[in-house]
Amino acid sequence: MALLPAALLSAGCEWGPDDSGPTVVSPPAGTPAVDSDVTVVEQAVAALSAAHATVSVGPGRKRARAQFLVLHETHLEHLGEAVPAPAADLTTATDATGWRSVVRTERDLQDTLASLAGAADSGALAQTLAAMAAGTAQLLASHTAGPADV
Amino acid sequence: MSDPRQDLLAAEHAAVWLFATLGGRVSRSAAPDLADALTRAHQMHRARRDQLTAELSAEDAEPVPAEAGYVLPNEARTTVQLAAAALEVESRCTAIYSAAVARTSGAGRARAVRALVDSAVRQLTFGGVPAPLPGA
Repeated sequence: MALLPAALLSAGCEWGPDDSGPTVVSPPAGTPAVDSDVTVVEQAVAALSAAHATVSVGPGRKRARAQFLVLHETHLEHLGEAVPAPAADLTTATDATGWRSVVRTERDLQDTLASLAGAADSGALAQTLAAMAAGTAQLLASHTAGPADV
Repeated sequence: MSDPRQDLLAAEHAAVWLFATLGGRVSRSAAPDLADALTRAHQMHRARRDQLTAELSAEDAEPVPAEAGYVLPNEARTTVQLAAAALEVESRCTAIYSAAVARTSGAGRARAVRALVDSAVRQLTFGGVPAPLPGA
C-alpha cells in the first residue's frame, strides 16, 4: 500500500517536521520519518475509498457521478492503491437527496485531503494531497454552479 | 534556502499587474462575466500580495519588489485571448501555490493549500477544465 512514501524516498524529496509558522522545511540529516506519512496515506486512501463507495450508489446525475468516480480512481492510483470494485446500488434515495449526499461527501473529502496535506511530513506528499483537494474542488465547482445543486 | 513566501509574493506581484492589465482591456458590456471574473481575481491577488508584504515587513524581512512590468501571455486583444491569458496567469499561480505547499509546513502550508484550491477553482471562471491534480 505504501507505494507513494517509498517512491518519495527514492526520489529524494524534501522531508521535515511539521511545526507552526510559515517556515522553510529543511531535509533532516537522518532517515526520513516514513511512519507518520504511511498513516497519512492510509487515511487518504480510506477517505477516498469511502467517498467512492458513497458516490457509486444512488440515482440521478450519472455523468457527474462517473466523473467523481474516475477522479477517485485516479487519486487512489496516485497513492499506489488498487481501485475498489463498484458497490451495488441498493439506495432508495431520490435524485435530489442522492445528489446532495454526493456534494456533501465530496466537500468532506476535499476538506480531509487538505487537512492531510497539512499533516504530511513529506513536502512531496503534501503537494500531491493538496493537488487532490484542488482537483476535487474544481470538479465540485463545475457541477455546483447553481444554488439548486447544493 | 529562500523563504517560499518571497516566491509567492513575486507571483502575486505579477498576477496583480497582469489581471489589472487584462481587466483594463476587457469590454464590460461585451463580456460582463469575464470582466467580473478579472475584477475578482485582481482583488484576491492584491489582497494576498498585501498580506504577504505586511507579514514579511513585520518580520523585518525585505519583501521582494514588483517588476516594472510583466509580459502578457498573448496579445490579449480579443475576448478569447483575454480569457486565455487570464487562464494562463491563474494556472501559473496554481503551480506556484502547489510548489509552496511542498516547501512549507504548519500555518504557512495551510495557507498555501487554501490558495491552491482557490486558484484551481478560479481557473474554471476563465475557461479552465477540471484536472485530477491542478498545479502538481
